Amino acid sequence: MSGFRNELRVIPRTAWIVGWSIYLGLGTLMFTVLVPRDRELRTWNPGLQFLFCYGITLLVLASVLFAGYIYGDAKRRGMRYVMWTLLAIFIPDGIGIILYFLLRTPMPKSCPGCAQLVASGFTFCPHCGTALQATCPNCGRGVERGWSNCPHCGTQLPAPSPKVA
Amino acid sequence: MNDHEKIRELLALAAAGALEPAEEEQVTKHMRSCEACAAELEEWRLLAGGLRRLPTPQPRAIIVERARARAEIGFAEEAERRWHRIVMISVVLFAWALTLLSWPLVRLISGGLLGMLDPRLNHAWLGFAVFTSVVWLAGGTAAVALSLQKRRERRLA
Amino acid sequence: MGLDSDVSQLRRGDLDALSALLGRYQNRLYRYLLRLVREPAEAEDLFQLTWLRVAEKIRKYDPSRNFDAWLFTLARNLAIDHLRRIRPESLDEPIPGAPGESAATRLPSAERPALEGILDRERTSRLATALDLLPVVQREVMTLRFEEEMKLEEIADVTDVPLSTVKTRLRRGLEKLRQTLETNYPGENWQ
Repeated sequence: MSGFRNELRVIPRTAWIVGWSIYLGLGTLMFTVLVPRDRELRTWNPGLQFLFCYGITLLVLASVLFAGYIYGDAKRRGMRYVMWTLLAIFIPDGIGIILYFLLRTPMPKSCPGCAQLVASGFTFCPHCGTALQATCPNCGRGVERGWSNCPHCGTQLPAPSPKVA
Repeated sequence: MNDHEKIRELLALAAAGALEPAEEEQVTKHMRSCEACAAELEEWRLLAGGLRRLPTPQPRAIIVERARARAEIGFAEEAERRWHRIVMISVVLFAWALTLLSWPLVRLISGGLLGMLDPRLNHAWLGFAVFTSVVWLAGGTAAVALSLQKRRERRLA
Repeated sequence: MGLDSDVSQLRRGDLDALSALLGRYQNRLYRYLLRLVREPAEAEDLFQLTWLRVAEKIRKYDPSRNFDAWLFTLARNLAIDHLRRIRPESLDEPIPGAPGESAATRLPSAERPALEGILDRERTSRLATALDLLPVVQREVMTLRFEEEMKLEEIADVTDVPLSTVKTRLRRGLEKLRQTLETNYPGENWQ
């Protein structure tokens, strides 16, 4: 999927370097030093030993790359990227990563009026004031198409006109 | 005539071409001898013809354009949704892999001294399991609470 | 066939295929929606909504199924939902508008002076008006059969009723049309 390739580009180069270094370093350390010392594992077929070492450490590589992705992705979405990266790294068992993907804000969209990037969730463009979504005629806050009443002030909303959002 | 009555009922559908071949035959046969029914059929045919020739109302060009634009956006959103589903499943699988496979990794790095199968250190093994479960529980609760709050915030924003 | 390739390309997300399908179906789809809801503004809105649904649901579409039937069923469901919300009475009763109005008072009177030149147009629009007066289920079958030229099985698929019901609605619709036209324009033909 080309979308996947594009997403991979979000990972900063540092993460790639650190990830691969740790992967190869740890894998080799395991294979050459730790497995021979282990009572049970050194009895295994060397091929399996190899797979074990370099297979499991793939998880470490993936963790580093995830952290890198979260760094880059949170940044471009205007989130607190340092906080999220630390959460992803330090909350164990990948839960920090799951949390991030559940809670990340949508991508900023370009304003139809001035074409600048605007964080999601805004009703008006902070640069040019163009309305980014339908608004309540009474209190002016953003409303979604298809609603019959404003959830902030209760006023009845006019019937939706067939306009592109 | 009983036959005649039956045929009369079929005439409208005959004009619409909606008869079974057997019924079609019956009608054609009857038509040869019955002038009244032939005239009736002609009337129905005129009506059907008129319906077929009704002018086609056309949508305004701007409406078609809007439909195209909205459909394109819908496409993008649907692709986004599918992608998000894949990402979430992969990430959960990854988290499980981390959990399950971190045990042998820890054991290995600690030089095999903490033998997982060593009965003397069973409580360490158990401790690890408890710790992991607690982390999952806490993380899960936090995730649910945070996402509920986020959803509320988004609605009100 | 061009249609099959367009549909399969659309499933893969090809937007040119979307334009091609739009071109193919725009008039037919709009006509169908207009016959169902009778208001051009609402038909326009539903038209856009239908294509949005197409984009959202095309991946779940079973390619072995008839695309026409699928598209028209989508449109129909949206239209019926819309009517249920906005004008639920129009789903049951044949005549819209204020109570007390009858078909006779709503059709253009035969006594109204009319030029020969516009007589044909008059007749055609009389037929269209009479069609609008039918109950929606009959009107629907009429347009699918005569304007769309769908096979009876396809109509049964789209309207989700047995074949015999389609035939009954077809027959009753034709009879009612004829009755309406004869009552209001006795003796004239409506060619």
